Amino acid sequence: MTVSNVTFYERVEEALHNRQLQTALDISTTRFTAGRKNALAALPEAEALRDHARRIRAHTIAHLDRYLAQFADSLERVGGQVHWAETAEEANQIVADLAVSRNVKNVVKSKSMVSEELHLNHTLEAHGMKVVETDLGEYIAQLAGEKPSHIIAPVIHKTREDVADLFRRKLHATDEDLADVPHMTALARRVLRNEFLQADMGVSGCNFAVAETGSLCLVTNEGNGRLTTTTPRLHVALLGMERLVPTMEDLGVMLQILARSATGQKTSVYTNIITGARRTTAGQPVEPDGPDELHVVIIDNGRSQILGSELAEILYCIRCGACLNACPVYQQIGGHAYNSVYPGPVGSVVTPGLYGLDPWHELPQASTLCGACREVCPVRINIPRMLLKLRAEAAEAGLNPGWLKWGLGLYRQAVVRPGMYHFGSQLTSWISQRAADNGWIKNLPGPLSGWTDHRDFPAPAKKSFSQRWREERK
Amino acid sequence: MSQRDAFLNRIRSRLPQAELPEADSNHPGSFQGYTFAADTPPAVLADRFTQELNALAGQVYSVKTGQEITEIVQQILHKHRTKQLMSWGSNSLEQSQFVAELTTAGFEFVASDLPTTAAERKAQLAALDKIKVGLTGAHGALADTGAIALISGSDRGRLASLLPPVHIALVSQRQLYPSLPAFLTAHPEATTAGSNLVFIAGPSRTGDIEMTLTMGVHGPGELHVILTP
Repeated sequence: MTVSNVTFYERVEEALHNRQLQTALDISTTRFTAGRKNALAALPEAEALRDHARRIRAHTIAHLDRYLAQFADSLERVGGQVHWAETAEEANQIVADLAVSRNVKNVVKSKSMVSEELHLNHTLEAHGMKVVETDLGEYIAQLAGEKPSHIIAPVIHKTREDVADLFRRKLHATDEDLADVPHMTALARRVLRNEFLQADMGVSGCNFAVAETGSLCLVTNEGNGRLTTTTPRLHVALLGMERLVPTMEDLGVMLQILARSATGQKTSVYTNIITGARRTTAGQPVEPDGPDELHVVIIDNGRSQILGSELAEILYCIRCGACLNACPVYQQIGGHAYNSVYPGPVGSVVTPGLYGLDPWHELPQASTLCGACREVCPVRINIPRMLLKLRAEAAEAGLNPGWLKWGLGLYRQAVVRPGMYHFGSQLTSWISQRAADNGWIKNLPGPLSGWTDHRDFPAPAKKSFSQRWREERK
Repeated sequence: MSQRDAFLNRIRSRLPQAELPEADSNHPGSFQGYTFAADTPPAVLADRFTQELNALAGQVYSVKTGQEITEIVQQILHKHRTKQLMSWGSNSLEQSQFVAELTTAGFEFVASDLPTTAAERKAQLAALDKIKVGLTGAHGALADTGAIALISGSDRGRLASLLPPVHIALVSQRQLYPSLPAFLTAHPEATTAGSNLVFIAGPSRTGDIEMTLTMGVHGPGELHVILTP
C-alpha cells in the first residue's frame, strides 16, 4: 500500500481547518448517530440480537477454514467458480485474466472496500479497460480523482456546488442538469445507465457470503449493486475471506442489525442475494436474465496475519461504519486524514493489522479510548483493547516520536522519586495557575502547544491531592 | 498443493494463535428472541406493511377483485404514457386474468430475455431500457420493513423490477410475513429455486450528495405494490 509524503499530523491539521469538511462531518455524523440510536431503540430484541450476532461472527471466524471450504463447495454446486488469492497482486491477476480472456472492454463496479485495497481499477485500466464506479458517491469520488472518505457515505466531504463544478467539467452538464440535487442525480443516472448497458463485466464486493448455500449478499440503496450483478454477462465478486456466515438464518440475524447500525434504516432498499449465475439446462439459459458466469475471488491480503494475532476480533466486523460516526476523533478529522481504505476506529486496527505498524503506528493514537466505538458496534468488538495493544507494540518497536519517548522518560524519572515528584507537581501547578484563564489553559508554549491548538486544558487544582491529604489528616 | 488447500492451510496454521473472545466451538443456533410474532393476524400485518412502505415513499393498493388490478395497472401506464410493460410471465403473477384483458386492449407484455452472446445481449438491453414500466409478482411482503421478496425463475427475470423507472408488484395477502427472518424460515428454497432472491424496500434512493434524499438514482423511482386477496 502506498503512503503519501504528507504526515498524519499534517492531514489532521488540514482537516481541522477545512470549514466545509467540519460542517459536513457535523451534519452527517450527528444524523447517522441519531438514526442508529432510534432504529435500535425501536427494535425490542436489538440488544439480544447484537449478542447473538457476535456469537455467530466469533464462531464463524474460529472455524473459518471449515466455513470457507463449505462455501466454495456450495457455490461450485450451483455453477459458480471460486478463486483463491493470497495477495492483492494475485487477486488483481485473477480478475485481469478473467477479463482479458473474455474480451472485456467495459467494467462497471459497485462499491467494494476490498477492491480499494487491491487498487483493482488501476490494474484493469492498465489492460486498456474502462472502469466505472456506479455508487453515486463513489462515482463522484472517481470523477474527482479522490478516495472515498466514509465507509457508507463516500463524499460527505463535498458540497453540492463541488459536485456541480465536477459534473460541469467532466460530464459537460448544463445549468438545467445542475438545477438541484435531484437533477444532478438524474444526470448521473443517465450517464451510468449507459455504462450498465455497455458493460462486459460487473465487479462487486459482498456484505456477506453464506456457507451453507454458496450465496452472496449485497445491500445497496441505489440499486447499482443489482445492476452491476445483472446486466453484464460476467459477474466477478470480491470476497474478503472473513465475510462469511454459516447459514441463511444467520444472514437474517445480520440483516436485522446491519442497516439499523449503518444509517438508521430498518433495511436497505435492496438486499440482493445471489446464488450462482443464471440457471441453465443443457447449456441453454433457463432464467431470462442475469449473468452467464459468476466468479468469486476469495481474498486474504493480510487477513490471515490479523487472524493469527491478538487483533483477530476485528475480523468480526460487519462494515456498518457506526464506529466512525460515534468516534469523537473521526467526527473532527473525517476519513481522509487516516489515509487508509478503512478509516475511523475499525480502520485504526485493520490498517496496521493488514500492512504493519510501520508506517501506520499513528492511527492507533488517533483515539481518545472513550469506548464509544465499542458501545455502538453491532457485534460489540472491543476496539479500545486492540488500540492499546497496538500502541504498546509501537512503543516496544521504538516507533513513537522522540518527544513522546523523551517526555515519558522524564515523567518516569520523576514519579519514582517522591522529592522530585513533589517539586515537579508544585512547579507545574504554580506555572499553570498563572497560565490559566478561568480555570482553563488555552495556550501552552513550544511543543506543548500541540495540545492546546485545538482544545483547552483544564488547569490543575490549586492544592495537590497529597497536600489536601496531609491537611485533612491533621 | 492446490490454491484452495494452501489458502485453507494458512488459516488453519494461524487459528491456534487467534485471540477470539466468546468464540464457541458450537454454532449458536437459531435466534429465539424475535418479538414480531409469526402468528400476528394478516390484517395487522397488512396495515403495518402498508404503513412501512408508505414511509419509504412506496404506494400500496389493497384490492378485492381482478378488475381493480386491471384499473390500477392501466392508470399507472396511462400516467406514464406507455402501453408497454417489462413483465414476469403470467404464470408467476397473482390473479393474472388482467394480463389477457390488457393484451386484448392493446397493451404489450415483454419478457426480459437476454441472449448469451455479448453483442446481442447489449442490443437487447438497449431495447429493454426504453420500457418505462416493469411488472412482477412477489413471494413475500415483510410487515416490519415494508419490503417485498422476489425470487428469480424461468419466467421471472430480475430486470423487470430493476431497469424501468416504474415498478408494479403484485403480492397476495397470503404472502405477508412479519419479518425477513420469518420469510426465510418459511421459504427454505428461496436461495435454491433461482439464482437471485431480492428484498426491495421502496424506490431506489440515495443521500450521497449533501445527504439530500433523492429517489430513483439507479433502480425504479416509483414502486407500486398491489396487495391482492
